[in-house]
Amino acid sequence: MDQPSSETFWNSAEDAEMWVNYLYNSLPDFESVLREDWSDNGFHQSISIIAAGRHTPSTNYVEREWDYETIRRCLELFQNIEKIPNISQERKNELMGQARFILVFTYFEMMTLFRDIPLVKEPLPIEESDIPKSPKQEVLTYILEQIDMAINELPVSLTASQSGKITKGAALALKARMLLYNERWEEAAAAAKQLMDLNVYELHPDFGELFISETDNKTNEIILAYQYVKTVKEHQLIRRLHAIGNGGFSQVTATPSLANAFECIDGLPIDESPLYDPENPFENRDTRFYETFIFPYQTINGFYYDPLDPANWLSLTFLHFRKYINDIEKGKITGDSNWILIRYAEVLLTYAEAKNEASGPENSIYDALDLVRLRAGMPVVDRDKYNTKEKLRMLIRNERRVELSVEGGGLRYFDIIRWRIAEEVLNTIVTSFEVPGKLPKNNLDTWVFDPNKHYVWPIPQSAIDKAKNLEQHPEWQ
Amino acid sequence: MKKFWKPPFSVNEKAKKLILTMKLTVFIVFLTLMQVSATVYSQATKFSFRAENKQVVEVLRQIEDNSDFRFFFLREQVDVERKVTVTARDATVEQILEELFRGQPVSYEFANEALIVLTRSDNPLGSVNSYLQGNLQQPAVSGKVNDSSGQPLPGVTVVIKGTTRGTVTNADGEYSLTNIPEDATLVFSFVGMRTQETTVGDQTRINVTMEVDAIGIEEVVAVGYGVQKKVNLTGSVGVIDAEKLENRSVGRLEQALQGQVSGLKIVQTTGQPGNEAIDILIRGKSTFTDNPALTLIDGIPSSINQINPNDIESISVLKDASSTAIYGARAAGGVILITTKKGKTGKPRVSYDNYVGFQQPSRFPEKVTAYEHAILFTEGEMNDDPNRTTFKYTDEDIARFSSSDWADHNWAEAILSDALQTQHNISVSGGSETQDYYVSGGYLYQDGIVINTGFEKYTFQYNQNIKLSEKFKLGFNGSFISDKRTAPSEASVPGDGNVRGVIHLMDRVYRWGNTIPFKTPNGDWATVEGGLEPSAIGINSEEGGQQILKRKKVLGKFNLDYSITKNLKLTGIYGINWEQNRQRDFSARMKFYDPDNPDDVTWDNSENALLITNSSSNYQNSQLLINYDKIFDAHSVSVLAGYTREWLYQDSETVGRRDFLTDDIYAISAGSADRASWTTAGVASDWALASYIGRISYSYKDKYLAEAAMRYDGSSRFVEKIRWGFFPSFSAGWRITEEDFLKDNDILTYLKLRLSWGQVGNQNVGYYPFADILAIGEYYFNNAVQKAVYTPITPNPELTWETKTGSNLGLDGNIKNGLFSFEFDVFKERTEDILLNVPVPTAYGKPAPVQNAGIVDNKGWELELGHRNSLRDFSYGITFQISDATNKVIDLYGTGPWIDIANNNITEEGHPMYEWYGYKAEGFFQSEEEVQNHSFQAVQTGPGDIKYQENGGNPNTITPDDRVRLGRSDPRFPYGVRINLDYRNFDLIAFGQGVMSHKVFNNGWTAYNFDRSYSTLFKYHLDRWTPETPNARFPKTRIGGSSLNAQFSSFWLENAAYFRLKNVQLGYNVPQNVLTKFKLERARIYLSGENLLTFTKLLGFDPEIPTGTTTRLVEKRYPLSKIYNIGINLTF
Repeated sequence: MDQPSSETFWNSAEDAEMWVNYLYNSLPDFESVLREDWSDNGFHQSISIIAAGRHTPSTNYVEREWDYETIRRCLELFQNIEKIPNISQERKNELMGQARFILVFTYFEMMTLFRDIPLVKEPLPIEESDIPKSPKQEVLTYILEQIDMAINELPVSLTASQSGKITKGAALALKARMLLYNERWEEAAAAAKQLMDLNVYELHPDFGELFISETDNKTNEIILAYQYVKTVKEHQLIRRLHAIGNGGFSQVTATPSLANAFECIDGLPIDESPLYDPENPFENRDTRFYETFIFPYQTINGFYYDPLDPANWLSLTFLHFRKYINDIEKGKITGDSNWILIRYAEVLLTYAEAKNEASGPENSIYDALDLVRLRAGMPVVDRDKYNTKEKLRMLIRNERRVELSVEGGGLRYFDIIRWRIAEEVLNTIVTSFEVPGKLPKNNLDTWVFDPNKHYVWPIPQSAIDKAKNLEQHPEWQ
Repeated sequence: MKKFWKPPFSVNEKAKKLILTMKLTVFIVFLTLMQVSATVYSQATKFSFRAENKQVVEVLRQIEDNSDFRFFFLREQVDVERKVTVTARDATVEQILEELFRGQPVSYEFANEALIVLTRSDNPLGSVNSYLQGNLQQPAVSGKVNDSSGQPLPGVTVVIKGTTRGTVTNADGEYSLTNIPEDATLVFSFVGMRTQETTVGDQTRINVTMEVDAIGIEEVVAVGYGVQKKVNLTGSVGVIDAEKLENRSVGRLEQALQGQVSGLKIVQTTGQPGNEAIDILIRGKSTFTDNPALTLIDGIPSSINQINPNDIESISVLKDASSTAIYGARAAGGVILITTKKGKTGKPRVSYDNYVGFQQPSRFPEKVTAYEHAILFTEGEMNDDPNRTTFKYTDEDIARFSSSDWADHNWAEAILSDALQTQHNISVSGGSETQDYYVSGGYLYQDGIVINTGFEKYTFQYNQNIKLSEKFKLGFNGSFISDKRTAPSEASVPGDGNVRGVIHLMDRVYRWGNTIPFKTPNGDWATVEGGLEPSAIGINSEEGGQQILKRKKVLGKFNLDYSITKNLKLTGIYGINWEQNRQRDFSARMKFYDPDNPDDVTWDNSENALLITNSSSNYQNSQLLINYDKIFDAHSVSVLAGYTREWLYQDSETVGRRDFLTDDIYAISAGSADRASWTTAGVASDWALASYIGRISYSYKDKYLAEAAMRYDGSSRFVEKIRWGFFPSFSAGWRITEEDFLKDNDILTYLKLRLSWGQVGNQNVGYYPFADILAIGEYYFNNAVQKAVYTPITPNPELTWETKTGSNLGLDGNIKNGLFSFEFDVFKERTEDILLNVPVPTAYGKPAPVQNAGIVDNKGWELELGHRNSLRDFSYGITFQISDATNKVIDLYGTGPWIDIANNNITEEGHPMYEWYGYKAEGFFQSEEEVQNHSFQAVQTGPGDIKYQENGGNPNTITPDDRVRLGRSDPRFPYGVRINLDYRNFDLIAFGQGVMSHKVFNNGWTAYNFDRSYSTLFKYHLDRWTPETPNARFPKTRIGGSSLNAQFSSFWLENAAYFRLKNVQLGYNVPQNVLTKFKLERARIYLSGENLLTFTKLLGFDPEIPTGTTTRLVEKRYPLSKIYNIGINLTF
């Protein structure tokens, strides 16, 4: 026999730890950058299947997000850890807390995309696993219970040798995100506040440094990241994001709509700022603009980017994403900066949004937003201009988009879905970034978003085909 | 042999049955036949008959049939087809001859008392006479020819090889020849008997026993743990003898077996020398699991490829469950028994065979030109988005592609070339009373038709049997094979993102358009599509590194036979099959440049890498067998009992490092000392099998045959309490032609009915699916690797083997002693407890466990037809075989239908396995109106797109509910035709093979209209829909668009039925006088070709390469070759 068998497993805490370690692989890794083209932030060079409304129950994007294997592995841990003799309660809590986080994370993403899904709470025997969908609210209730347990089980801080593991802060941040997405504003704000009050996390002074490997596991802003290690496990984001001329695929390029969401350095939107010059649109912008994009006629790591050079023919929108690939040398196509899943700035923005929705503008909201903006070198929020819930909402939403693009695995898509603005932003003709006299406005693709259908994803056909009790959503029948 | 002689006729009862006779319609009045002294025989023998309007030859035959007279003539000299009317009344033979040839220029002469030679009277010194002069006056050799039962055989032609001189045996089987040259060889031939050759030497008397050939009364075939007379077989066994494998320029044995035996399906999926992927399937698919045929070489299980085809004496393909049951739990896929050559008694005989030839790609689709590519791509962009204002190819690009300065970048041409193939083979064999031996050595060299590929193989075979005493016999069969395969490197530096290897190369060659340069104007290797990746040709060329796989295999068997009594024999066997492989894979440092700015490095493989993999496997087998054979009057009984044990252990380790100082160091230690960059991996597995076997065969007068066999197997692959399985079989046969009422008929030489039933198993359940194995993964904390584990499968401790129960009905016949022959089999089999990954609801959260759940029925038929004949010096033979097998799923454990989206197929109870499943295409939309009136397909759907059939579900939209069955995915009616022609010194062999029906999904980068923006199209895609060409072959050009035309539909299923001329050989045998001069026994030179002609409707690709389901299989495959050869066969 060439492999160990589980009959001799589950004897020690180390066994359980190895099991939990494997679970981390199911967190979104760098490939989830492709989720950026589900939203109005990114354009996929081949076909933006989700954004363009071309998905079907058989589309592999859809199949890929249906992940009951991770759920089972988490549930099996809860079951098997009880068999282990002589495991300390502390160790057990820590391991169960990590598994619980991953269980909740997986359910939460599936629930957000697929709405009603089968809810499995313990490892089922095969004959009992043909179960119908549970309403989304029931799933939510369950995972909120679970995340509360995880919050209790997980430690606040880690020793250096554990860096990269899930902490209490990660669980709190996830809880805040879950409540936010489900419009439970007060509770969301409270969860975010609870995390803020841990006094563990703070914004990293330099926005751009968040995305280079030097900073990995060394800043208090990043709450959880998928780990990459030099030479051992590297990501290929440069292939996904970079220009053809520099070893990339240009698989996902940035839309003009995202670029235009960045204010000018004076804190005004481009249509209000006197600093904005359509003929020199890349000047005087929010400092985050320069960390987020590779834009035309810029030189990065010795590569001069000319989108009209035939060698760069796939620079369809003329704008490339820059996060995570900034420190990669020319001619190299892999990098080892961690892929951020949750960071403190998101929590601050979650707090701001939830609090605003719950109670309207108040100082704690402005303070949270100011922290994020000041770190980026932007002026504080104009209290007079953004003085109503509605006005402030627009600012917060824009701030989320600008601060968090490309990160976390499709945060913008989740936002436009929960804000129900997808039909406004996705029913569009995608174009390249026009610079009068320099770069043409090319029509790239026509996207269609059907609000009666596309707010929920279809249950994958393969899952329907394998179960008698699992029905397709009415929108997709 | 070249028949100069018209074979004379005979009267012997036995011979009469065997001889190919024409029915005589003359009435006969037979008066007297007196056997008196020789000198008066012609006078004393009188005939009375009347022949009306009969050919002269018929009259002569009539005389022969009723006397001892033999006539001897050349058809060139004597017109024996002339019609005559003769009346004889108490006439002597001389009187009749006078009457017959009155007015004809024919004279006759008595060569001896009974042999009458007819010659042209105006040509008294013709060849016959000259022969007779020598023959009659100086007798030098004489002898007697018997058949195998000891009866004298009259009418046998005896010729001095290489001359036109010879004689025939008389009624007592006696012959004599004079004036024999030195070193002469006598050739004895008789229709229906195997031709024999004997060297004269100092002998003056040579007695010969002829053996029946056509129906092979004595021919034995290998069966499980023994041999059986072919005529007494009760199961279904296909036989391929050495002759059918001769001079085939194939790198692997399986290629030579294709189309030779009905019911044996062989599919070669890639043509890479030394890495050919070949699937063998006996009687079609009868299970969902992997169920390969069990192959044994001289009784020891082995890979079928572990032999030099030249060393093979014969191959038995055991097809039905009664033939295979003795191999128990491994026999469900059928069994192939290979027997190697053995020395024959006589002086050492040396044979040398050689051919040299060149290979060319058999079929390779032609891509569109750069100009066509750009036009089509732009058209596709417009079709996809009419609002588009910018295009991948600018007007300048298109102008450039169409200008006369532009030369297309032809990727295929750059990697393909004619390649040399050659083989040498030498063997020495011989034997004496106490021992026999066969020794051979072979060398095969096969250069690849694709760059950086090639293969070399050395083979040695040594077989010896020694009679130690009257009671003890020792035997040894051994082979050693050493080969070396060269291929592009696959050793990529971890994380460098490069994919390498033959598959990658082929993929890119099919995929990149002629617009894309693979070299820069400076002659350096380029990156493609603006730095997307390094050119696949560069990275896979020798400059990019090389993977060298060296394999060494030893297969050996000792057996010791001990004859306890005359009837009881004990045999001990020990066999070993050992293999040791070492693969060295080295990728070099390389730079790739921007073709537009050729000084600009756009890809830098700055690290080289070396991966070394060592693997070995060691299989051992020991057997103790007892045989008891006894004949009691008309009853014949044969009993076999035995116990066998088998073990297999295999392991493999890989180590790798990178960043070597130079590209020339091949030692691991020379690589970087950074442990983080090291690679190590290793696996090992083993299994064991213990078995009891038994068989009893009985026959009554060789007329009624019965056999029972069994195997009791215990396999380590299952948990202990359900480890043992019993596999029985029964069969019976009836040789109808042995019945008295048919025994002496002239037409039906042989007819046998066979009936069998048996059970066999399949133990290929993988390694230990009963155990909940843990797989090792990793994750990273604190920048360091952490061990991680998971359970990748759902175990099933109750798992046991699949059981196949089969029955077979067969009818074999032979008409007129080989003029026509047939074998027909019908079979039906049911496989139960099939290992199924019964689909489980996704909420279960683990892969489906393997369960003994399914039932599949498989039934079919096989037909082999043969015809052979000779007309004067022209002889020929034709064999044709065809078969079919169809399966039907009976039980899927209550699940299903299983729809496999990735592979576009459906499996459901009551239907065949893996039927195509998808949308039914109904042609193209021709107008917007038609699109509007049809069920909604996609927003972008328009005229020129494929229209899918609406089949319910949501009646307004095409949804997955509209998918339907689109027909069977497996090929039907594989067939083969083989023709041999012999004319004087020339021989011609032609062999063709094909399937009559096969629906394939020819998917690939280029199957659809620009499947991806990075692919090109083939010439046949130019026939696409445009408003001006509404009836085109293909829909309108699109880029990507997976929800549009590229969805799986009946549109993309193509007909891959084909017929292929597999092998043609034209040979010339050097005449005897030349042979004698060079002291040769045989010399033949020949021209041959493999895969010369192919007839198919399949677009572009080779119909033998199975097209893909999920992955773009067809476009990753190494093309098969056409081969042209010239060769020689010499025997000393």
